[in-house]
Amino acid sequence: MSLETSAIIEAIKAGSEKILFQLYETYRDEFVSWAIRNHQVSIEEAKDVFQESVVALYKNVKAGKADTLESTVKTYLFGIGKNIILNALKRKSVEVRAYENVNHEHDNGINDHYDQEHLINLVKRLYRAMGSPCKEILELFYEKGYDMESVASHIGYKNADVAKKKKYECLKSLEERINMSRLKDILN
Amino acid sequence: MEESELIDKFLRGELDTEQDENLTKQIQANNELKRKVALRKLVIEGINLAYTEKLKQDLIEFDKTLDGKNRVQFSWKTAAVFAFFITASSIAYFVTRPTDPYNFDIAEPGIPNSMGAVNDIEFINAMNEFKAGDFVTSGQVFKTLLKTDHANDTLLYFSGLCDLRNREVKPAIEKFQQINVQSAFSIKATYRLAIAYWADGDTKKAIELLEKIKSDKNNPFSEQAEKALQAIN
Repeated sequence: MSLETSAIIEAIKAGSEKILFQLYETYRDEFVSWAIRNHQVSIEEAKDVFQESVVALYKNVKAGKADTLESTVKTYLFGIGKNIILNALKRKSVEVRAYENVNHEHDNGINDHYDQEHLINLVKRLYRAMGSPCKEILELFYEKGYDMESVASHIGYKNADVAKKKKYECLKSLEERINMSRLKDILN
Repeated sequence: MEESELIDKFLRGELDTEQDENLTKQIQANNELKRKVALRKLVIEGINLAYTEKLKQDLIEFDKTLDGKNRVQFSWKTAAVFAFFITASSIAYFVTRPTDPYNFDIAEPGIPNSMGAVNDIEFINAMNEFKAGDFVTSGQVFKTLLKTDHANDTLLYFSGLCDLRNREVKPAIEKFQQINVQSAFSIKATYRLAIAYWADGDTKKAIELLEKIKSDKNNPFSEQAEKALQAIN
């Protein structure tokens, strides 16, 4: 991995959003031009794909999938974008075929997947409805991977123990809301 | 170590091998602990989804700011391709399509949760969805809440606005029409009603309303109405 690539990966891991926006600004036009030339998509579609690619880069870095990246970040981003376009095209043709051969059999795998997706969306909604500073604390800790000392200094708490206590309360409140909502869902 | 903290360390991969193996065994043997770990995973996935959706939204907003900026230098080839594409698509656009009324939509930041006319967690959640740009989910909730509080101007306005943004013009018109002049949303709703008429193809009503807005120099959307009128004409 080149120094530049590893510096970018480390910055994303450390929770830097700025680097993602810099990457977007640097490569957006080149990607749009490339996508239009090679895949006959519109400008808006190409931009949308590139935004998805930057989000996917973020997710892959967080999941440790980019730790052994051999190519440059630009090549990686363009590769993700290409896959998104090809998958979308493939999905379009599969959807047409699936529509033509509607199968009414139950598929528990799909239902399980749907349930899980539904639950994650429910958590997302409940989390979004949380006030400050719970949202910030949980985001810094779980999404950006900060330790409790960093969370405390970012929020302005005296020390890590105060932040830890607050995080516990926020988490408890969110988990209680999830349990209540899930019960409501089941009763409905 | 406290259990909640231990679960976090387990999921973040911060336990040493021995601790990790011990906890894995405990999770397998203890259903309550297994449930707690699953719930924590769900929380993390939900936060991740909220964050990545926000990131996508921020990139969309950032993208809008880029075109006005002096940015990366391109080779003449890239510039030529872009110039050709932009010229060709602009010509095609103007030849084939009339001006889009939705280009004259105005920003709506939503209202602070404490200002909600309906003191209800469902309304607060829907307002948060609205602020995050999810007009389908928020619109459904506003619509449901309207069924039991059908004259509430806050719900009429935000439900109508979600309809409009979801390109469901007729219900949007019906809702904006019900907002009376005393409402705090009246001025914005009137402008949006004009845009909705336009989007519905009723340019006569749209022009009438926009003329009214334009001629009222105290109306904050007077200039915007003038621009819309120019586009219609």
